[in-house]
Amino acid sequence: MQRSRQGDLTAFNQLVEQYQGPVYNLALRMLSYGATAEDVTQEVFLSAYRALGQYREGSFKAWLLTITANACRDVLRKRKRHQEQSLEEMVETSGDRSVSPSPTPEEYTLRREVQREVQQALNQLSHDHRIAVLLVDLQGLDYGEAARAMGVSLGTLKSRLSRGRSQLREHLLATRGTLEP
Amino acid sequence: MFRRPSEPISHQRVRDLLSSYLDSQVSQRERERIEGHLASCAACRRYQEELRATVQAVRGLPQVAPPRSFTLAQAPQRRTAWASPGWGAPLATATAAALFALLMLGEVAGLIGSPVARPVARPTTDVLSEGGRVNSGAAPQAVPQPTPTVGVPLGIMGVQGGTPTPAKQAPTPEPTKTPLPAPTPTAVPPPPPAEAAQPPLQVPLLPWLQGALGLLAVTSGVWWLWRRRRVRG
Repeated sequence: MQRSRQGDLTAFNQLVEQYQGPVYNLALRMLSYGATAEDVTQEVFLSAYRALGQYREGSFKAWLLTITANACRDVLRKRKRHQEQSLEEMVETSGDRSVSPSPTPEEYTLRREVQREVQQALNQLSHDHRIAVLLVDLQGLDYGEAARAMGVSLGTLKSRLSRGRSQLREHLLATRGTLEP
Repeated sequence: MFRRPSEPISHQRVRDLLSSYLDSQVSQRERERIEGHLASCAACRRYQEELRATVQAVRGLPQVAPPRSFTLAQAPQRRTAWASPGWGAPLATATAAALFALLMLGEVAGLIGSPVARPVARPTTDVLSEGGRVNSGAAPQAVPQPTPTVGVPLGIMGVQGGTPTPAKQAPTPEPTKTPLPAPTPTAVPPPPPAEAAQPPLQVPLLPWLQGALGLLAVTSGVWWLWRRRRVRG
């Protein structure tokens, strides 16, 4: 990190390699479109390199995701929703990297179906609620980090997370009829 | 002072708190109240399980491998200290605001403005004041001023800067030697004064300059705040 701050591009690129996964996935889940997520990811690392002097302390990942969330909000403000199917193509080509190894074909199909429904439910949320859910539940930030990334108070983060999860539950119940733990 | 371990709590309040409860982000008191409610409410227990399943479903979404590397081939130009959001815009804001304040103070103190229009503006103010009394019925009195002038006092924003505006001078009596009849409030504006008495036409640059500086200060301040929000963690 210290070398990166001093302008060492090789050191910074090591950070890129380390964190491009979380940044790209947050952009992809927010925007539901691979090409746009790529553009945003690249822009995030360019911005991060330029602004590295302003990074003080705390989680570098949370700092990157803050820039990512802001960039995604900018993109979402500018465009209409019309490209949600593209995320499925990305999952299809990149493979399922979730924890469970070697599922049977039936399990795999079922899991893919659930994931598709979850992503559709996420797309129904407002931008603020979606970011809160993705930062905490997908990226694993703690509440304080997520609140700072969104530029809101802890209470506001809790409220948005609660409403986002609650609305997700309603959407999933509406499409699946039941929610099994 | 004793507090009951589990005070009553509404279904809706429990459901609002369950999200934070699942992540152990509630206070001890809230936890006791929630658990006390859940122990006796099957509907909220079901809600809790469904919410837990929802969170698990999101956490089970696969991490998609980035389709390419996002490493930088060459170092982009970094912001210098002056160009960064930390210094540039605040400096511009402060400079514009200081110039704006300086111009305002200078104008209030009479240091800025037309050297021609300023001296004649004061007696005209008196004339206008007396003209107001004339309108109320009193006989107008000739102002012992050898040459009537029509300079408009510079307002706080320096509007018009000495350009004559006949409409504003409707109640102003001409300093004639014979008393004028009492003018009606809607009287036709008096004929414009002789051209020889008019100050030279001046372009009101000061209010434009003040407006531009004020706008620059506000714009650069907003821009700076926006940039800070985008890049800061």
